Amino acid sequence: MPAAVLTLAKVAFLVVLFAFIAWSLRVVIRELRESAEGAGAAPDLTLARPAELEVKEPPEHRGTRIPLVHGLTIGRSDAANLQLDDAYVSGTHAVITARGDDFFVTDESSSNGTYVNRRRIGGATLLRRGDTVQIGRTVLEVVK
Amino acid sequence: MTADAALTVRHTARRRRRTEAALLVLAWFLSIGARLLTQLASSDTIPDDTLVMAALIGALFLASHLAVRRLAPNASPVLLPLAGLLAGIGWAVVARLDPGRATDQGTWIVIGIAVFVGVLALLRDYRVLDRYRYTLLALGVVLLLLPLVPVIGQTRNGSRLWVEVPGLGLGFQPAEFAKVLLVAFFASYLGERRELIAIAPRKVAGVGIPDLKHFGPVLAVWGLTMVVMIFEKDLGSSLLIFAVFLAMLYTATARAAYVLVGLVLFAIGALIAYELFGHVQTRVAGWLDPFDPETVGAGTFQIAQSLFALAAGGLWGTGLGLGYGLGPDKPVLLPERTTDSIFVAYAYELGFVGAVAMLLAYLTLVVSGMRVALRCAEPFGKLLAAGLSITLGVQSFIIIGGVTRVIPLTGITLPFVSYGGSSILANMAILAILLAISDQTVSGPRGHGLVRRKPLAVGTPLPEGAT
Repeated sequence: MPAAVLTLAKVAFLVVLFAFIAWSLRVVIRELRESAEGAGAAPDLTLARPAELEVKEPPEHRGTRIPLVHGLTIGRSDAANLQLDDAYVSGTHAVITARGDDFFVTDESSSNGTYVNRRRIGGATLLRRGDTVQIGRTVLEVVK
Repeated sequence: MTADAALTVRHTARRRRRTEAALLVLAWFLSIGARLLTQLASSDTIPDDTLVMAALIGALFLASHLAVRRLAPNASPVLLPLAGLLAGIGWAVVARLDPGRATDQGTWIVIGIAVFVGVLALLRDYRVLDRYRYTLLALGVVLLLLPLVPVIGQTRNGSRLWVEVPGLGLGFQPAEFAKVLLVAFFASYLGERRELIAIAPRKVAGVGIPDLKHFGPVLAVWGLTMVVMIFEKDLGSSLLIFAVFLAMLYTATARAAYVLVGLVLFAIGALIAYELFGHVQTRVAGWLDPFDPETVGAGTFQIAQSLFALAAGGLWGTGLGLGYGLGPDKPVLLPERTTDSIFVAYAYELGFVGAVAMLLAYLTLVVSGMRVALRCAEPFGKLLAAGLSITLGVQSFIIIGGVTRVIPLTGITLPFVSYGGSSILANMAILAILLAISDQTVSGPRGHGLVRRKPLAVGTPLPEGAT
């Protein structure tokens, strides 16, 4: 190939290369800005089908509903999204995760464990409608 | 309200995958372009197999993109295209420098993409890794020690970092995989104990010393890594693990004092290594004075030739495929050109401008990985994403800095670009883990209203309006 053609091709290659980099950087910067705005915001929402937890125990809160979202934390600490003021509950006791259309509850190495349908759970446990989740003295039911 | 918010997120996922697809198309063009340019430099016609090559690269990009769509629909859109671009250009450069290795490298990339998809599929919930903390540690340590085992361990270029099963002819570098496992272990351990490690109950000479009960095991693991690596003379990997460990410790505890202590430890270790090992002295000498007449023909030849090549490349480079002494038919003037010095070969032919583009590609990759860490809501994922991104960044810095004489040259691979199966597979696994974390933590727009910002206290009065 003549040198002129090769030089032109090289310049074209470099132009496309920088266009690619510039575009990628723009996307990253935009997402970083979104991160900055969203830092400390509500937990993440995924594509999962909407569902809620309904409080069964204690009686004074019976019927309260908490929407299930990915990353929802349950515990005694102030940082928990669902705070349970109960000595039997660990700081961060359990967390809700979502995959596809399904929600899971995972025990966060709590002292007293997390129970689904009265069974103490090990790893991430699938939540079905009607399941009961017990954390300390609080009982929640999966609805909708 | 619920339905609206769910739709918004679906939209974000679609937008991300569309961006990824568009970027991949560009990366595809660039990969084919790089290959064609290297071939046209020495031929007047477009090679017959160009269409086959384009179809193959396209199929690989498409397969990985579809896998992400299926397995990590919400993941960051730039990670895969950047890795694809680097691997594509890397393959073209390897094929130009050593045509005998083109098929090999291509095969490794294909297997690498299979590993990428496999890891994505296995890590539908990346937090399973958190549960196998000590298994990861044990595997990592075994992999590190493997080259020291007689018969299968092999010494190449003065470093004992290869493992080859006799008779099979298939070797690999365990350190490449060990680094991923160790980062996962550090993330898991530091994630759980970061508060305990951050507290310094005792003070020694004004510097707080954390409780050894919590800090000791990490130190032990790190010390073991160092000893093994110095024993194997794998300076590049030991520098990498050290730097990544310090960065992760800082990420976990936000205590600059630990970084200072680490740097002092490093200085002491470096001095001892310098006094004890001849190969360390050679590397430092090559860094300080590569053109020393006594060593330029031998010990510092590689770095001296690298500098000549970079200078010859100038601002715009010779053009891909046109660098003198890089082709298979010419004398080998640039040692280790498909591995350590691949960045030099690339910069020789695409110049400073092309080199800046590659540096920016790594920078974007690291920043994007750090964004994943920033966004992740729980400590393990945060530390894992940060650790893996830092690994990619530090590794690129160590080797690019080495061949450009910014720091002493220590051999390590350039992620996604260098020739070598272990490196490609390990980095593809890193890429998949980063994508898995970002998929599982990317959130919808703020204020979707699904969860109350204020914690709902059971046992105390409910806020007004709770249903």
